[in-house]
Amino acid sequence: MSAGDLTPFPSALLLDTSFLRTLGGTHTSKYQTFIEYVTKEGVHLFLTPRVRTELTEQQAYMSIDWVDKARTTDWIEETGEFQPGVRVHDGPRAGDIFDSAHRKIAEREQVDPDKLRKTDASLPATAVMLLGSREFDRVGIALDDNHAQESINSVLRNTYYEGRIAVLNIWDVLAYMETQI
Amino acid sequence: MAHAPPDTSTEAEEKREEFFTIHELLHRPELAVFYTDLLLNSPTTIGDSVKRTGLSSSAAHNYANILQQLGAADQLNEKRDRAHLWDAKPVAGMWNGAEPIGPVMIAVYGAIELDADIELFVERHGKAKLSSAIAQTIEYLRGNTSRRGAADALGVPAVEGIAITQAIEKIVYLLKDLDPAIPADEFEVSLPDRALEDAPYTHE
Repeated sequence: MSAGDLTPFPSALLLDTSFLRTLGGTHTSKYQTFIEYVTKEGVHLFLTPRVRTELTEQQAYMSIDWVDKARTTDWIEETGEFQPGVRVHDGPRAGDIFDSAHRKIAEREQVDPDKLRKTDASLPATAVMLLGSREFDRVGIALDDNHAQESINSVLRNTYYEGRIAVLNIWDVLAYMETQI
Repeated sequence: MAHAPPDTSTEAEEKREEFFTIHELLHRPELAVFYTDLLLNSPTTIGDSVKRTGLSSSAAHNYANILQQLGAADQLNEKRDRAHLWDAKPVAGMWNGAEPIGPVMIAVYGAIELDADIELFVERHGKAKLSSAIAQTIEYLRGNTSRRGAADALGVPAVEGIAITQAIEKIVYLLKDLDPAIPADEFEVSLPDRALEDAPYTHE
C-alpha cells in the first residue's frame, strides 16, 4: 500500500469483519482514534450483508454490536447486496469485479471457488456500487487481512477503480488518522 | 520381525529429554508463560520477568529451577542489579514424527489463560484444534490463505478464524526467529508496535 492510497482519505469506508475485530472495544485507543477521525471528517461507514451475517453469528468474539449500530445510528449504514450490472464510467461491472476477486482468492488458496466464502470478493463489488450510486469520490475497503487485501488490489489494478477504490490496512489507517486529529 | 535393540545412545537420550521438556511446558501454562518470557528477553532476571508476566516471585523462582532441570534455561554468572541473569534456549521437537513443536506452540498454549480469544477458541474447539490454528496462521503469514480461508480449513465460522489467526499472529511475530520449528525464512511478519499492545507477551 502506498501513501497515495490514504490521501485524500476516502469519504466512505466499507468495514470488514477483520478490521472491526482488530479495532476492538470502545475502551481501546484504536477505536477512539478511528471514531474521532470519522466523526470529525464525516466519513460514512458501511457494513455489507455478508459482513453483518458473520458478525451476527459470532458475537462472542466481538466487543461491539456493530450490526445494531448500523441499524440504530446514522453514522454507520447497512448496504444492500451489490447489483452485478452496476459499473462506473468504463470500469468493469460489479459482478465482474466480484467474479475476478473470487477467482483470484480461490487460485491463491488452491480451493474450489464454489466452496470459498464470498465475503472478501463482495467487498470490492459493493464498493463499485457505492461509487456508482452515492456521491463519493473515493471508497475505502478497510481490512486486517494482507492476503485478501492483495487479491482485491490486484483485481482493481489497471481499471477505472484504481485509486477510486482504496484497499486499506487497519494499521496504516490508524497511523494516518493519528496524524490528522 | 526382528526385535530392535533399545537405543541408549546420548543422542537418543537427548531427544527423550527434549520430549519431556516440551511435555512439561505444554502441560503447565504458567511454566510456558515464564519460559516464553525468559526466551524473549534473555538474558534477564527473574525479578524483571515477574514484572512483565505478573507471576508471583516464588512461582517464578520455582519455574526457573524447573526449566534449569529440564535443560531449557541456565542461570548465568553475570548479574544485573545484584540479581542473577537467566538465559533460556529454544526447545523444539517433532510430534508423531511429522508435526514440529517449538517455542511458538509452547507460547500459544501458555497464552490460553492470558488471551480471551485463544481461551474462547479452546473452550469451543479444544486444544488439538488450537494446534491446527497455529499451522493455519502460519499458512496465512506465508500468503497461502486469507483469514477466512484459514477459518474454512479449520471448519469454524469466519469470525472465529479471523480472531484466532489475529491472536496467534502476534505470538508468531514475537517468536518467529527463536523457533527452529517455524520456517522463518519463508515469510515475513510485519506488525507495528501498537499491534502488540494487547499481545500476551512482552519483548523489551
